Amino acid sequence: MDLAESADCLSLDEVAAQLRSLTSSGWMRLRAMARLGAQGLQGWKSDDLLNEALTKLCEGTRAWRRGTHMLVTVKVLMHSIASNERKKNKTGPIDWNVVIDAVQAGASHDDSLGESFSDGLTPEHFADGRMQMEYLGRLVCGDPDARMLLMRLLYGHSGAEVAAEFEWDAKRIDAVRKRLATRLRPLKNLRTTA
Amino acid sequence: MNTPKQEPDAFDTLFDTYFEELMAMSDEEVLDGADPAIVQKEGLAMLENAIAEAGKRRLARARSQLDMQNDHQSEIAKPVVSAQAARDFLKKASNDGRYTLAARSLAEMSDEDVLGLYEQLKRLENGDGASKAEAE
Repeated sequence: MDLAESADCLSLDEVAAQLRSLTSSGWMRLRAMARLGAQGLQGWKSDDLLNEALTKLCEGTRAWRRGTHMLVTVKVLMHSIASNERKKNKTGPIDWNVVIDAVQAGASHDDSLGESFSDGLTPEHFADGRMQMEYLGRLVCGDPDARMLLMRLLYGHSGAEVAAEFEWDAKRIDAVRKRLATRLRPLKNLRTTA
Repeated sequence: MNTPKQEPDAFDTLFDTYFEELMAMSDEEVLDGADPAIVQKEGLAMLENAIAEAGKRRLARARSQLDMQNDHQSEIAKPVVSAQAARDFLKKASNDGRYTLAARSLAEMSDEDVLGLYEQLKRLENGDGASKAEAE
């Protein structure tokens, strides 16, 4: 039985009808989320992620619970697809994320290479994290407020919390959000361009 | 030994927090000067592609399920019978006027051939191939 056939989920016709009613600003939000979600997915373009999420909903392999906001449903699904793909990348035979240190690679035959450090993080993890932060930092370069908001968002804070902390009024936080969204628009797949 | 606590992935966190920020922005701010009609048109084109792809996948899944079902049914339909039981059945059938079987050749046939012949006769009994028999 398709997930979408259960009573507390939208039918496939309802799913299609709801998605057809999506506004232009809704599409903009979803495409912005798709750009972010496609980070680190080898061979995926941002629209691919959104397209896959829409396809799974229309196919009935992923359910849309009644009462759940349309954008939340698609966003959660994109997140789930992206996470699964990242796991596949990590456990697959080829690790696209490894950054080879030329000096170390030439000199070392150390059997421990690739093992986790004692804190559970691999060298690749550090390399990726550093690249991601550098790339994101470049995108908000020259805008201290947008940079601050981005850094706080990375640590799980909300824009409202940042505004309260730095005593930004509503106008200022709105302006910073908008500038951040504009700055993040050229997000590229970090790991394919690295 | 304590298992080190895995730090949450920064992008996973950002994915959630950034979404909340986009939702907090007005529609005009999100559009940021883009033509709403064009954005809408592009979105709907993407949706229609997704609906078409979903249809193809559902069809492929249905076909695959049907194939699996057919395989399962043919497995069930396959008689579970020993070669000796099949020989006994065929021996009896050789005396049945409906079939033309040479009882003497049974002894010379391999178990595999006996079982194959048994299945053919059973299918005839069940009506399969009746039209073929009629035509002949």
